[in-house]
Amino acid sequence: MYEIESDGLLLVARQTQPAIATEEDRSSEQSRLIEAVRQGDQDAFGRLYDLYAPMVHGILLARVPVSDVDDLVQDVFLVALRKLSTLRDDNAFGGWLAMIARNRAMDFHRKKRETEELQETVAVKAEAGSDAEARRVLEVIRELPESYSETLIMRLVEGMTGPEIALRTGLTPASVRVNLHRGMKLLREKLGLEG
Amino acid sequence: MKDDYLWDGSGDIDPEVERLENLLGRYRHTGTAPRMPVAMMATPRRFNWTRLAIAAALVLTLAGALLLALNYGAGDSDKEIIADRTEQPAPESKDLLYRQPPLVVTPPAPEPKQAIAAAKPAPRSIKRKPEKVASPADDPWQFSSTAAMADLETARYLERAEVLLRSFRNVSETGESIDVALEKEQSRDLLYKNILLRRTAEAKGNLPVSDLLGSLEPILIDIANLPESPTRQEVQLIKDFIRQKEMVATIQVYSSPAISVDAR
Repeated sequence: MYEIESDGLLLVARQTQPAIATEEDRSSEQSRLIEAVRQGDQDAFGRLYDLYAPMVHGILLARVPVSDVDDLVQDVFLVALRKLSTLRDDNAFGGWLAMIARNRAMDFHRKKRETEELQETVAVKAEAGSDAEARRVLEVIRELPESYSETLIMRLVEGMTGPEIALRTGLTPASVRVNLHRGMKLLREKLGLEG
Repeated sequence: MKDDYLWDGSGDIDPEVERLENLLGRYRHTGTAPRMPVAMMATPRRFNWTRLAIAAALVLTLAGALLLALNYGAGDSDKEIIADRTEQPAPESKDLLYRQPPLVVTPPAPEPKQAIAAAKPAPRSIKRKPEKVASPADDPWQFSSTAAMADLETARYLERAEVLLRSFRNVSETGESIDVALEKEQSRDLLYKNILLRRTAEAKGNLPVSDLLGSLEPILIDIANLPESPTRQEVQLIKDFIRQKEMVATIQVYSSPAISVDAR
């Protein structure tokens, strides 16, 4: 169970030196982008959105109904924009944004009314074929532990690669790899697929 | 490796993963960035001549008032200053030495031996170092990690992580069901904090701390993801891993000096 993790950690340790330069470049580029957004640059805000929207979308899709996700993604970015001055470390932007998305999803469930849940059920009944299968698979993924479902959705729905997920969320590549591996194993079991 | 396709899309295509990608791709994000609120957008400022004129008038008024004040009070105040200086006692040699730190560094001239004798005790009183100070020569590794860890937030976090790991290690496995609800919750809280602190440490180039937090992360994830009623084997696997990696001892080594440095 832990062999993969150990391998992953060793891999990270070996790659530390060359990774630093690229990590620094990426950090400084991201810092410049965030600073430009603080100054009110709409283009920079658009670029930051393009980079992080799939992650935010994935986090929300793991928690709230599909029909509400797009609106909430926009909400999350507007909240982040308002609070950007409170962000102490620009390099922690990804983790910070992910936290805002999770909190926004929790708020959504707190305020949600029962009638809206009924609408969702009716919509499921009206679907057929691959739509229904897609929704069923998504529901199964949502039932997995949080870190597995978030990572799997970012990979299978948003099309992000493992390294990209690590870069955006702030998790280590080894953690993302473990989440993907174990999450996929659980998903296969629940869907009755052969691994 | 078998999971390469799942990891980064490389290697042999895993047909199941590919099928799921195609099936779930319909939910992919396609939106565009919202417009920034107008209040937050940068607007080019027009040059305001009125403001410049007011500022210039204020500066001129202040300068004029200052010149007048200096002209009126110049004569008497000079005398007072001279009188004050004559009344002041000559500074003692110790005071002088205290105010002249270069004497501590530069070698003294050979002639005034008395001055040298008086100078010797002075640097001691200035420096006032405590009896015990860690130096890089004693133990470079510990010194560097101590200096790197002198961040109170990280030290406090590591203390919490240490308590969690100890608590998890001591979870009783004798009963029918193992209760790890509290550890799961704490682990989830710590996980998010762990990510933020590790990213900060990476950005500062603090590799020992970033490595430590990186090793801690999978353990926190595993504890957070344990089922409601985990089996003995599941709990034992994580305990074994904590023991193998000597995580508790490692965290202790890193967190203790940091707290003492902070306290000083």
